Amino acid sequence: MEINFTLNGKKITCEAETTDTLLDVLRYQGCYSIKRSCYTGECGNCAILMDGKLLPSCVLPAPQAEGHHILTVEGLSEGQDLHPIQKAFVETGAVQCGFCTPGMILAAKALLDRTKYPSLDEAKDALGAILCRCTGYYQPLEAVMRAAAYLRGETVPPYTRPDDAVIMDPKDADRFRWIGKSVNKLDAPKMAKGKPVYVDDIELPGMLHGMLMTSPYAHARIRDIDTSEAEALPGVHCVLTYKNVKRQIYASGGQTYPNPKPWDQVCLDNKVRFVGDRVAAVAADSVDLCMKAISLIKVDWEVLPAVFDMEETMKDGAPVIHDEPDAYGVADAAHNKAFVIDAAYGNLQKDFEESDLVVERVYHTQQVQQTPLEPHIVITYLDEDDRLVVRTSTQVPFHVRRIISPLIDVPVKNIRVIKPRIGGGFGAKQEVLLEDLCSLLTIRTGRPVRFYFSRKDEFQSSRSRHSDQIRFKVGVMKSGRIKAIEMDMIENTGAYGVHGFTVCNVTGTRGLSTYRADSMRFHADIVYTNLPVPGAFRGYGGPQGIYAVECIMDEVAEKLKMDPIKFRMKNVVRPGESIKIMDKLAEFDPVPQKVNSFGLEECIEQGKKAIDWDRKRHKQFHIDPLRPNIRKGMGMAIMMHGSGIAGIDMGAAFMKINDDGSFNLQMGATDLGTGSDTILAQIAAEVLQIPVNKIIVYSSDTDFTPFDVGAYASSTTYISGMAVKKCAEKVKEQVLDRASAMLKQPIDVLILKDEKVFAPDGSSVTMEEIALNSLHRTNQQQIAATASHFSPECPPVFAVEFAEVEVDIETGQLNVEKLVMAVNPGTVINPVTAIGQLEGGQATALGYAVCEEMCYDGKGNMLNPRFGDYHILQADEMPEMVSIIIPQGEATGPFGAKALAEIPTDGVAPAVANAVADATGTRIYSLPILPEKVWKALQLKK
Amino acid sequence: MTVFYRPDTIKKTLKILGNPDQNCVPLYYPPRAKHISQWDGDALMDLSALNFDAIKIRKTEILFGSLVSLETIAKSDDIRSLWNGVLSEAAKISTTNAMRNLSTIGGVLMNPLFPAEVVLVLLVLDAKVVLLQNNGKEIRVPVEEFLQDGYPVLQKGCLIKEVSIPLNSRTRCVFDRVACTKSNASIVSLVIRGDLTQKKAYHLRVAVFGANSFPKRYHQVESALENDLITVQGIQQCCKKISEETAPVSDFRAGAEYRTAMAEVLIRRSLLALRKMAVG
Repeated sequence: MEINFTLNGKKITCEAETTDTLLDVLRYQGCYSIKRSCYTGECGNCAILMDGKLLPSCVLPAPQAEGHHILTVEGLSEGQDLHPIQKAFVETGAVQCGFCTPGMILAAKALLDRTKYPSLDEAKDALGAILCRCTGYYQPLEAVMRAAAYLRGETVPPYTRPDDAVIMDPKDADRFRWIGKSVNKLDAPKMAKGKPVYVDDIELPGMLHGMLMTSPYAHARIRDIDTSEAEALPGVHCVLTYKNVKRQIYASGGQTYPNPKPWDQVCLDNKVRFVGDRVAAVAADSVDLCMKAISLIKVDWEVLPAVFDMEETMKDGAPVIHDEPDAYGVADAAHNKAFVIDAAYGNLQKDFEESDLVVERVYHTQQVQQTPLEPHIVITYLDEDDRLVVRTSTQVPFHVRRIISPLIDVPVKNIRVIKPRIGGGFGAKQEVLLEDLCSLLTIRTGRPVRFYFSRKDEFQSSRSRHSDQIRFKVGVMKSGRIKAIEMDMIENTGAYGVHGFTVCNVTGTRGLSTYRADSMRFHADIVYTNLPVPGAFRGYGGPQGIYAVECIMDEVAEKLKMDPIKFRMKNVVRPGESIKIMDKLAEFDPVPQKVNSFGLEECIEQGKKAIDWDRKRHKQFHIDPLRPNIRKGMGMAIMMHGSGIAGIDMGAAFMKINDDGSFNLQMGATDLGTGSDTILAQIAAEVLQIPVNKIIVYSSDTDFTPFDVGAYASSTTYISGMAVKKCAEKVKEQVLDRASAMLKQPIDVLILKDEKVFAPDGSSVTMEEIALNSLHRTNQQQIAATASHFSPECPPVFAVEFAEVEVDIETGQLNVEKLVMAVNPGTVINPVTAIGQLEGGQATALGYAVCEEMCYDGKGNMLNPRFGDYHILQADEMPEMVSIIIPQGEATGPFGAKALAEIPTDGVAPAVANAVADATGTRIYSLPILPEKVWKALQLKK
Repeated sequence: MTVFYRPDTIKKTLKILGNPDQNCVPLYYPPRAKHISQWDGDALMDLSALNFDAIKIRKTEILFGSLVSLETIAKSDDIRSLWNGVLSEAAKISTTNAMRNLSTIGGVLMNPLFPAEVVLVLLVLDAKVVLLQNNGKEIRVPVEEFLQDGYPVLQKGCLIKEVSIPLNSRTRCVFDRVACTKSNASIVSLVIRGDLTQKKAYHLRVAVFGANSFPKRYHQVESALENDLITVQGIQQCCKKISEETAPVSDFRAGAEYRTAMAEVLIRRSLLALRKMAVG
């Protein structure tokens, strides 16, 4: 049917089917700012303003637009100009991955059109409609208030909050020109304008749609599969099943070569192992046709008994999940053990016997989902040379290329993987999930194919955080000195073992590396069950390990009647000490690790001050006379997290000069919204003493950028940053060499500053003159360099998290009132992006602590695969959050930087759990800390 | 679904809805949004041309057009000033502001199981659904009757025109709930109402969500206190009746035992709060 409406001030007439959503129609009209994400109206990433009202376009039938005025972000500003709201979002660091930004900007506009002086609560309510997994909402809320001031015509001072949050030694304040400066994220303006920067934002001629048929059973064998009716359907171009796809064993984790064992996957199998597992893939002219084709595929199922429990699965007689003969490296298939880890030092038994107090507890952590607002999406096509191009939302483009090559029988040299901007990853996209099937569909049909996960697919068939059962046993002396620690855990790796070993390894490392002890033992069984597959998730096992260790340490301190901070500080590892257990735990060969830079004391001091720890820990603070059912409490946790993977991670960069003295910086590092492109440009700018906007960054394209392992393990700043620094230093040598010739002065007297090279006599040449001279005039030469970096160290980052809570002792309802995190990430490169990382990480971690959980029925069906049911925190329910950075340089990092992307996910759960214990006198031993669990614990205590 | 209607008169609307050969679904958007493929029926109908989006305040009743959005209810100063603001609060808690702009009171009535806070308010305020029958006549059906065991009963060819809530200056209400987080869906929620004098509470109503398989009035609890002095002892007596009307279903949000306990806690607390309003 024909519909008529006004779009961004222009009258539009277009055709739409009754079944078309307004979202689809607007994207056909070129409004790529409207994002496909949930299709249930719950995430707000598709928001539009219809007659000034914010509405989710994904649930509106297109004909409903008839006669209305629709505004999208594309209609806010033209050319290079930014609307004041867009400007405020850019300046405050509110744009991280940018996927939700257009929705947030429109939500802000709807509010600011209504009121010039919005309250913070009104801003929270407005942004409450838009889910964001990156920011923690603080910077977007500041953007709204700042935009309001712009729109009122006020003179708005520079954005300063992060500067307040960075407690820097005054002598370091002016050391650098670009390091430590809150440079606006280079990619923020285009994302604030809703430009087509994501995988889905291109249309290719003849593009087909790909779709996955998934398993309705948790465990079943496919006796036969008949695709004839589906293939006969006009408009269906290809159907892939185990019958027509090469059987090649692999592991889908985007990890370094060779992928950690076990290798227990094939592209398409004749057995399914969880609800949501791959059965078939279809390419057709439309999404509707794909769905129709899938409904016509006939599968002869042999349904098998399934097992979901971590302990049951190891028992004799449990259903064997990986009985295929070609699975490689499975530790004990008969008992569903994908991997077993054992590591120990010292005489554990003797030390426990000699301890004055031994405390033993079992902790349970739940499976949670990364929920990037942009679901997994891939577009593949053959270029003019018939090389395969894979445009994908990935954190690991180089691993994707290497891993899919044998699966699709195309040599690496004939595959180009491009990562455009991606709408959040958080580890979910450290995985090869759709690239192989999408590529095969393109190869078979010769046509471009667009293949994506629905939100339900994203929940069930993507990746998640492992659920664990962790038994901790700690032996201490009356003095508070820890003698022995034992950590024994089971990790549920779901149907496949991908990331199972390495995540568990990090859980053990994080659980056992913060504190000294005479002896330690770590044992882990990584077990298969018929549940959806966990994988990498920001923190990568750290949150589980730190939750357990920080809860038991708090309880040990309580039993010893010691102050929990003093007890921890008495036992924490110190600078110069080696972390003994890491000699035994490693992905490949163990790499001994030492503590260099520390800063924990300063973090604790500042954190205590910010949360008013000493006053509020008093018992009189715990009770509110006006609310007799409320108890208040304070808790804390200390954390340590690595910076990259020692001896494994490598990043590389390439730079060249242009005629005008600008530089291209090409690197494999993958910016997944964190701002790494910007901070790496700042590093290059610092070395070369040029403005950051003279660095043109291009990243993550396997044809045009040098190798990088990708964005994971908090490695980008530390590893890729050092590669960029080395590369820029090589370029700087060439620049000075050229300047030396031009100025006829020896190199060692020249000074590079403000885009010029100065000689002691005051003469100088500009960077542009050097570029023109080298490219066009004398002994022509391309000033360019490449460099790579890997590190035998992964210097630990230390931090502390404090939480203040209120608990309703009649209902068990928990309200987290305030979170304070203080961290020493080494030198901070960009305070705004750093604070954004801390707040966003803590927001995710708070959801992990209090509400998020993937829930299943008895048949392995996920019960809450939509945002309305799987609740991620909204802007209107965030607690007060204070983030403090105490930069203390790390000698091995670029300009002293370490890392901070993952550590904010580590400490919130234990700090909240310890605060609940402080408030109620009752400890909760499993996550999330739901009202029902607290209530039950309080009933038991009664 | 191949047909989309946008009738501009009630007569045309009723004619389309009465067509025995077509199942046409009026677009009453609920707060828990449906994917476009989830609308049952072979045609959709946009009612926005019928002017069902007004709130009319009369001397003895207030009429909400069936397309009045939850955002309007949440933000309206008039509505916030009534019934201790519980209808606005219930509307606000139901969903995000973008979904509140879309969802309507008609959508709530057609999808009353979850979230149910607005339904609870309608139940305790003795709201009536104003239905337009296919012959063009209006009938008024109490919300509790309209929702049989939690499911709406709307005859084919009929239309929800309005919702009527009687006005009484003595009416006071309390809303309370338990949830994992401030904006998360309720595990158990409750609304109670009483028309208060200094010593009596007339028309006491208690409606609870999350303690049964559908949002439900607690008639026995109500009758235990009806017209009675609001005393602490009376409240304790009526709390004993709560379990008789509670039959929760465990789900991923909480178990039955917890839901039962919370129904009791919230009813007791809310009655005490109502008592406080009465006696100061």
